Amino acid sequence: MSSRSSTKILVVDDALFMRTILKDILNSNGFTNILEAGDGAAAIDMYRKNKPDITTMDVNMPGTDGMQALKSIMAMDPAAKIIMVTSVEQKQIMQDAIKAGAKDYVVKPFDRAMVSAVLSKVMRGR
Amino acid sequence: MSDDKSAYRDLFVQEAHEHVQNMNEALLKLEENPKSKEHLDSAFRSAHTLKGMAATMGYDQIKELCKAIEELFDKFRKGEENISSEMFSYLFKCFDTVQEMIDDENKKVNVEQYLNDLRNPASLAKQGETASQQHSALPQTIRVKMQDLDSLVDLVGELLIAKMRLEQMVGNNTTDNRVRHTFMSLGRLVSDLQYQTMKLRLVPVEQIFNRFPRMIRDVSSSQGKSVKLEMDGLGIELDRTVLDAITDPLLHMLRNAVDHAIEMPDEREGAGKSRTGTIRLAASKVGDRVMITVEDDGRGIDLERVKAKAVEKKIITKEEADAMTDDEALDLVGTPGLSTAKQVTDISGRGVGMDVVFSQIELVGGQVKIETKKGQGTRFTLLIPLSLAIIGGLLITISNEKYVLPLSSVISTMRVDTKSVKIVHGKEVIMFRDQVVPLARTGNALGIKQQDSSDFMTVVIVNKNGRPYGLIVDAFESKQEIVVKRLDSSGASSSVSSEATILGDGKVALILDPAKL
Repeated sequence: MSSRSSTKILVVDDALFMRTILKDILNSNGFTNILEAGDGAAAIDMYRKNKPDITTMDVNMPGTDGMQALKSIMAMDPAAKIIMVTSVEQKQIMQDAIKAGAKDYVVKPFDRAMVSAVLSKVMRGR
Repeated sequence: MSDDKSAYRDLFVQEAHEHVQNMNEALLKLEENPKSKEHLDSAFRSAHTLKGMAATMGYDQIKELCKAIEELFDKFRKGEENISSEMFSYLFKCFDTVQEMIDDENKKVNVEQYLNDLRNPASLAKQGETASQQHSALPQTIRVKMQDLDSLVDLVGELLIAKMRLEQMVGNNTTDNRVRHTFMSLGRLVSDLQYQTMKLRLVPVEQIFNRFPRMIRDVSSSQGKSVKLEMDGLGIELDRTVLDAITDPLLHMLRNAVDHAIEMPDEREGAGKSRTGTIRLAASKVGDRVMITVEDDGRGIDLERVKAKAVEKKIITKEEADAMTDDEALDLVGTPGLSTAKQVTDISGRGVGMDVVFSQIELVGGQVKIETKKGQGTRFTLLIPLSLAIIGGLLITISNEKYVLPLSSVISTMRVDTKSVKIVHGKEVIMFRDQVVPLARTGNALGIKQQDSSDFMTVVIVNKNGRPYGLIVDAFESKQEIVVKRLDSSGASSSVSSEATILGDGKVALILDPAKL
């Protein structure tokens, strides 16, 4: 499963706007198999059912937040490839997330080249 | 993203609206419970998400503003900062600005000022004034500390007293025309000065009214009701202290109207009314007072239920209830411990009833009147004094001591034949305007022995908790403008009065609060 088009990506963010933007960036980078979840609980559920290759995880969400969802998914599948989506000032959260098993992070607002580079890196790390 | 952001603008605007709305809702909830973690988190999250979205769209001003809001809510969450009441209105204003910037991407806002204010919430709490007012106010303005204004009012008060003393010493009994004329112009100047000074403390009711439409919208939509709020007289001005004091009662009355008065759309339609209920909030000036009316076209107050409730709560007996006129039954609405809402909602059925509204309004020398028509609606009329610092007072004497009753609570004065006093339930009463009015010796409440009058006694009818109440006094003298001095809590303050004034002869007179007599 090396081709981008066959890589299944789960995009988790409570804001439809952010999901849409990220989905479009992923699309234009050749990733076309994309699933979406609007909160942490839905993300855990979808991960269990669909086993995505890569998951992008927003941090601040109502209910189950990104950190909790990250931990649940890592507990379920220690090989999960999760990329945290954070804002610049959330350094502490990024570090905590990496410790908890996240593979990498991207910072909002998204930079196309950066998103693409991080995805390539995480894919290679498989 | 600036290359193709237009494609996302609609999506952005739509979702951004939801987040601003969410922040507003959370803030409204926080106003009731400032420590609610759920709502602090919710506001924080929305500000954060909005910040990310704005950054993505390249809207730097929105991003910066939301970042500052997010940081402030983070401080609230961590308990590093408390939300002051000034901050609530400031944040509402902030959210409005965010909304405006979302709607109009070219809108220029003095974001720097907001950022400064939001980063120094302490200074915000002190000023109580806002950045947006600073650049939207048309006449030139300067910011003055409330404290300085208070001292100015105090000084004018002292001047007024000095003038009165001088008048008593020389002014009234001089035959020198030049002295008399100088006195007259001095009098005019002092009252002009007094007027101008009081005017400085006045703020338009708009400052608090503007918060109501959002509240009405939120409360009504959460209950599935459709309510339109009409407002009038936004430019009418009131003393800031008075305005602050009536904010909560007004909020409560409006919530009550949405909660209990306005029916569900289907019920309204069934009753031949429009599906949308209307609440009208209007301010107007009546002499030296401001009249505020809160009017709804809802179901009206169910007087039978009010009476039944009062009987159930043992406020009145069944017989009394049966003999009651509608007006008398309406009077019950302001009685402590009476709430007729069928179920406790999170809006207004919190055990705080109209009695609290009544007592808060009366605390600032105001009066409340209720009119209701079953099936057609209810109107509350509040009469509020413009200011609390200088009020009209009636001078009364008890055992050679002078006291002041605020004119705002005086209904009438009368001489009563002792023979016409009746005893009902072991208490002395008199008839006044076809009503049975209880009598009390003012001296008893003050702990002073009051000599018993022989044939006639002098009675001042006052408004006590919305009902007439007869105070027996030795004599009443003149009506006059008095300068209110707050007694501090160090001991001078008594249970019947927390305020005093200095009379023309230099003596101190307590200002009596009828509600406490």
